[in-house]
Amino acid sequence: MADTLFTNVRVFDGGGEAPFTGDVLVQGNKISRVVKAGFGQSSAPVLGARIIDGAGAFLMPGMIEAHTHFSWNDQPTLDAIQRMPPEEHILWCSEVAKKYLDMGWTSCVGAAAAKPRLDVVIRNAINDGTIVGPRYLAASQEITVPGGLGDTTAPHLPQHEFAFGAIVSGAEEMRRCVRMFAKYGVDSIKINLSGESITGMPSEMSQFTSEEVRVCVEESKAWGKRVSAHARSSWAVKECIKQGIEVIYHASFTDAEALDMLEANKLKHHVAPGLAWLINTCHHASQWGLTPEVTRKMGYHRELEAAIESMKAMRRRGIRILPGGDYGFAWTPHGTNAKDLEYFVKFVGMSNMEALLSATAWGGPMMMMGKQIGYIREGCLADILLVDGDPLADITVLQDKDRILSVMKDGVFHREPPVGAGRPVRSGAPLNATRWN
Amino acid sequence: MAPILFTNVNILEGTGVMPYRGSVLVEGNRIRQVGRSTSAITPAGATLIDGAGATLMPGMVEAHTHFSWNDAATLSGIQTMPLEEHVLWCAKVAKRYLHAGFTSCLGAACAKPRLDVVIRNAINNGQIPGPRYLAASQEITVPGGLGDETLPHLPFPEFSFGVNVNGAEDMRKSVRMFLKYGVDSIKINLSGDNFVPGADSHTAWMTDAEVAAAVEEVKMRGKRIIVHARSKASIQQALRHGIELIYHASFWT
Repeated sequence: MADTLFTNVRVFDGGGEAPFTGDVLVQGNKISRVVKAGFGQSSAPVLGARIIDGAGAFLMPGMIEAHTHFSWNDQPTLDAIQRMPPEEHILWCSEVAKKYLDMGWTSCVGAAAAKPRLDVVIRNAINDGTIVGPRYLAASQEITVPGGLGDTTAPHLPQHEFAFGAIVSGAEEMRRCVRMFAKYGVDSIKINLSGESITGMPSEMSQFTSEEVRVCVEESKAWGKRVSAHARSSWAVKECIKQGIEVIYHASFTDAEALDMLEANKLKHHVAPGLAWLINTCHHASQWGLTPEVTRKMGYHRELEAAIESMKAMRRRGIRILPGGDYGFAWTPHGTNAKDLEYFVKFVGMSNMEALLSATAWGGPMMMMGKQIGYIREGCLADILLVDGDPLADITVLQDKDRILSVMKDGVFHREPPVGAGRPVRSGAPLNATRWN
Repeated sequence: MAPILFTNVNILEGTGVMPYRGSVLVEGNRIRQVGRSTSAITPAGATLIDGAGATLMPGMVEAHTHFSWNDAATLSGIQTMPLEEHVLWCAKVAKRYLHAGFTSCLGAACAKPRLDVVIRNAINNGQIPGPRYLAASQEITVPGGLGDETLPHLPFPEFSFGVNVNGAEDMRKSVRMFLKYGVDSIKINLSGDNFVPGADSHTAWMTDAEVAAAVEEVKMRGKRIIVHARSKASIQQALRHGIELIYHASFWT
């Protein structure tokens, strides 16, 4: 693997300061040198390194997605996810994995898989080079209760294969379920602590007994696994903090007590609200029968307002909020994930800088990789994007694949920068094939 | 897609004539023109590939492919691969064949019921790269025959890369299942194989009634039936039933 020297780039290093013009050297899979260029002077070329003249492009850390469901299949219903056979489903997941990398997400945190092993298999296939995809943390299915979010069985079709969740009742069933996923090799166990209005169980409602939750956490920790929770209700958020559930998804409804508890424990938990789901279900799903009238009746408009207030309150209290919006439904298709950053700016009141940090520097701990990723700093892993434009001026440029000029993961280009990407041809005749897509 | 003109190539056209120097024009997915001139005119907008004397030949066609055999040393090594990994394996193999110049492959049997069908569909809809492909069923066999990898204490069908049938009606049911899944061909094992204990290459075990039921079902749906036939008796049986594609045919004495 040739070393790569990016020259003449504007470096956003994840530290929160304004970008500077400079050079970044990648050796092997690490960033080995970051140099601020002096006026009119460039750093000496490195022997053998491939030199990429960025021509002033924006160089930033690869983005980190905190709430990913590769196995959600861009369909309008939960049932449609489960009707996809496992063979097609694994190919779908592998296509989605590539799409995330295409869009600059070099790390993704799996938030639940639709069939028991999908996430684990995809993570392993990425790691052993069978397929291309981002760094990935594999999740279990969503563990739920009969009748809860994730139980898509019907009374006359009670077979568990109909459900994208794993349905348990009682502490010992929970224990067995967690053990099964631990055996399969997941990185995290997902538990649904609250409802989800579209399923008929309102988001403010909660499910599971504290004892079941306790056993879930106990068993997960015994196997060294992380626990993450679907927690829209206030009770669910508090339960996460009380029981030591590290990852809190949604947190739409938070009362003062929940916010106090979160603030007091803010370094122990990660919060990813998944606003994209709420926003698009409320306003952009009419085509699939979910008109604003319908979703208002479901309670989603009220939840969206509550969620925005919760996120604003968290932001004021210094609780970090991470992007990842439950993408993978018809109205939130995979690959549009950078909209989350726009939503953070538009609805939560973040600056473009904060939004950019939430997708980079803040994501390292969420990926359980500390400061190894999310920064352009010497010694960090070389997950690097080259962007045409300035996300600090316009956060939406990250939604456009054409503006993400190149994607590097672990020191290797997933997408080469266009400059010099033409392949030499043996013919002297005119070649009008495009040099890059 | 711009037309492509290969010039300065030695054309092996596939008719048995010796290769000759010339040029080949491809438009869309068709070969539009084959010229013996070495100085062809480039059609406007065509991408020109100067072959510099390389041999240009048809993509190769592989007549007996098992994408789901996983380069393992044993038959049970095939079956211990879980379904999800198996699909990704097949996808990888499909690409490998294309890279090796095989632009068409005939599936000769797959190790789990839908692997071949899913891979063929994924190739055809552009999800994965691979050759043109005909999807096969699993190998249909009899208990104790080639393809039956179950053990007396582990009699579960999932242990086998083949499907066991007993009797004509059982055969019919199995064939119908694979036809429902969308295979292009049904594979049945009429003989054994030397590395299968108790079912060597000289054996033949299917009744004519079973074979006839399979042939009848397959022809009714316009599909193809293909057979593993190493022994003389099994080859004769295949001929007796008018089976189009015979794999192996090792022993005729």
